[in-house]
Amino acid sequence: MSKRYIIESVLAFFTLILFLFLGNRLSHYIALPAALLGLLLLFLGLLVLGRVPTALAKVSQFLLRHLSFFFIPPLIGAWFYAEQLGSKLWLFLLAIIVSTFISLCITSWLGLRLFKGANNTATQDDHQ
Amino acid sequence: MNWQSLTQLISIEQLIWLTLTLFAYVLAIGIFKGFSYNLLFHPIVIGAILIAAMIAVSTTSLPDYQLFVHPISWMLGPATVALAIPLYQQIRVIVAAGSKGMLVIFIGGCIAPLLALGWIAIFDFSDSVQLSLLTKSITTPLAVDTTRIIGGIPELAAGVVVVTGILGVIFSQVVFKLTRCDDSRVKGLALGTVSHAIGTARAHQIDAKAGAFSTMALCVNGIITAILLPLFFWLFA
Repeated sequence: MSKRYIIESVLAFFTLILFLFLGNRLSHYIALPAALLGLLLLFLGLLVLGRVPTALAKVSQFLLRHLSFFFIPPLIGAWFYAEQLGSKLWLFLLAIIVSTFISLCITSWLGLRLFKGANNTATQDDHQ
Repeated sequence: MNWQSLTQLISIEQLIWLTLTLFAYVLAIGIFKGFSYNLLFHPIVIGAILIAAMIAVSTTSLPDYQLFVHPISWMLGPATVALAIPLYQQIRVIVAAGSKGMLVIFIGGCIAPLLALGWIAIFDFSDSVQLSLLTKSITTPLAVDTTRIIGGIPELAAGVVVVTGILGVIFSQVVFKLTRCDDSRVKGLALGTVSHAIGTARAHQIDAKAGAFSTMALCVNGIITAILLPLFFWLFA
């Protein structure tokens, strides 16, 4: 881990925060989630730039790989509200279970229908 | 800055809980590996159980814990912005999938919350609880903000998102056999549309193509839902 690598990673991380901040500013004018606006702004930025800086790619890959970690506190927090549902909690959970199962069935069935026979070479497999 | 003001900024309790949460996650990953990536032992599930046990033992209140580990939840913001990178890298895939891919994502993205909403409406839950289900298939930071905008309970929505993600991944193994799905592109689309980031992590285990399609579905569904839901409520509510 060279000094340069660390500096670049920190800069890349601050780039993400900068775009989150920009998204936050913009969300005062457009009623959309700040993180979404930040995402779209960064996406536009990348389109203009025409490439992804290596450090930015590495940092975001790391963040997205460990996304599970950031999910733990909200999941714990939800329990507090779930408890308040009382006896209805099971109906609530069942709603999630049933709708998730059915939508997964429909999505994969529809996908198979639409993609059947479509050329499979448009995307590149990069198993290495 | 002197040390005293720094200790006021970050309490010892906060440091302990941040460290404990990190350790629980690292341990959860180890357990996940130990069970050869069996999805019932997903790091989120094991991590949350470990933390819940520690909270119970230490008699810390849940709101306190939330406050202590706020920096972790806050990281979901930059992590969501980071989705711009895979989205940009998958442009070729998105263009290749074209309108067919978009149609699958759009229909899948609408069906899941509507089904849940219908069910909840039958059994008469309060409005804010119902609204918290609408964002079930999009990634947490988007879901939390969108839920807040449309008047649901953000914290509950976050939990619904995580549960949906894990269930979707567990069900996918059965569903793909049921529908005889052997196309990586379709697997990726379904996982990303229904199970957002958790589904995408699973799709990456299948193969690179599934991962690419899942990333695309996660981004597109998240963006579509986060834009359309508030718009819908602004127009009709």
